Amino acid sequence: MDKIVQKAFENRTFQPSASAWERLESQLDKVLQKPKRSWFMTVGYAASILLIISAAFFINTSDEIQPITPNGIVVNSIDTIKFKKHDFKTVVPLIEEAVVKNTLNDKMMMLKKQHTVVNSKKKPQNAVYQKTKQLAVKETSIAFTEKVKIIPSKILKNKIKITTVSSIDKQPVIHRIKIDSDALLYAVTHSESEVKQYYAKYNVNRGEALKTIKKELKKMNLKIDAKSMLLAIEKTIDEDTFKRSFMKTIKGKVSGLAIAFSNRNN
Amino acid sequence: MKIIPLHRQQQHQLIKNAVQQKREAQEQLFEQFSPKMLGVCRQYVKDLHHAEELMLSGFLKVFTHIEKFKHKGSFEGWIRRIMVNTCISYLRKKNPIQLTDEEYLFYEQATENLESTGEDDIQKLIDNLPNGYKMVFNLYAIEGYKHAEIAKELQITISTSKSQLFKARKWLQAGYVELNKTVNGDK
Repeated sequence: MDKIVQKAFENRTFQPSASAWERLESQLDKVLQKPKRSWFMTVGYAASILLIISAAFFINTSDEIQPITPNGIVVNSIDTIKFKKHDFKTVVPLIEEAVVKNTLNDKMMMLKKQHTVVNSKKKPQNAVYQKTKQLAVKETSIAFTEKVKIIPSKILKNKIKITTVSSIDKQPVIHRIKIDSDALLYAVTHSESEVKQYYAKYNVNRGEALKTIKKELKKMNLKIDAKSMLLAIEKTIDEDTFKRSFMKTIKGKVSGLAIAFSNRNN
Repeated sequence: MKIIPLHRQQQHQLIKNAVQQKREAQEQLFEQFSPKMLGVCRQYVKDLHHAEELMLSGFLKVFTHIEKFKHKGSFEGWIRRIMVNTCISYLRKKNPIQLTDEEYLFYEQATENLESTGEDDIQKLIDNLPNGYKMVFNLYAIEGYKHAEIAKELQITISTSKSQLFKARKWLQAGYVELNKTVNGDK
């Protein structure tokens, strides 16, 4: 029986309908399109996962808490042999933004040792004193990247006589002070009209003032933006000292800065 | 549709092209094998339209997995096996295999007369078989599967396969007697 059936169906054929191939072709097209989509999807998934991982990694690394080393503890030991062999300046040619840590007494002592006493013929200490006083008062008007401690003027007045700027600069040292000009401008802009009125009243030319500052800064070998400096000075324009002698005050201010920086670096 | 006989080398080349999803090659292979495969599918389902759907589904599998054909056996045999599996999975999904235990009389004479019966009548007899019987009978008698293979394919035991085949035969013989009676009665 099995053989009979097998024989009967062995070479049996049926003609498929005319549209059979077309139907199959459309099905094949659909099937072949699917893997493309899935490929794009998988690539998309992989990319998004990578993005998430990288973002998470970035956040983790940026949130790392930097350990704060307390003052006075030496983290990296200094090779003293090197210092002995070479000059300090060749090993550390440029020190930027070193924070002044010396006490006031130390500073004063150093000033005494290093510099000769000023002769007071032209009374420069008065100008310098005024400048330091103003700087001390207006400490916030000049924004340094790292704070520079300025010697309170009262102590200076009582205990020491301040040297001339030229004596300090006998051994020229490269100073680099970064001043935040934006902060200076912020402090100044609100009194701009007052500044103009003042210039008009006392017949002062702003260009000349700027030139004087530049000249003074060059003398002191200080790299400070003269405009920023002038803006800082202009802020305190209403003060009596300035009214008396504007140009003198500018010069004093510059020399005062030079002293403050030299103190800091020492 | 024209049936184009192919030489072995030509067929090999066509298969290669079909692997690369070249429509022309696929179409030629379809034209070559579809009539016979439609006959195979027709053994499992009653109407031709349904059989054609199953055949297309089978060819879809053939062309999407054609790279798996390793040229070890005949390509026709490979396609045929796919067709059979497609039909069986369809029937199993549609109607789970019914393991009936009905008693049928065995007519010895019927087997002798079956030889003279036409192809269409035999198909009618097979069409009337329950799905379980039909699958086992087709796989065993027409496709040449062994009981172990059938059992594995249909996920039944070997003894079940054997009993289903026995019952299918009895059913066919009984059906044939009935058919003859009707024919003689008409005469």
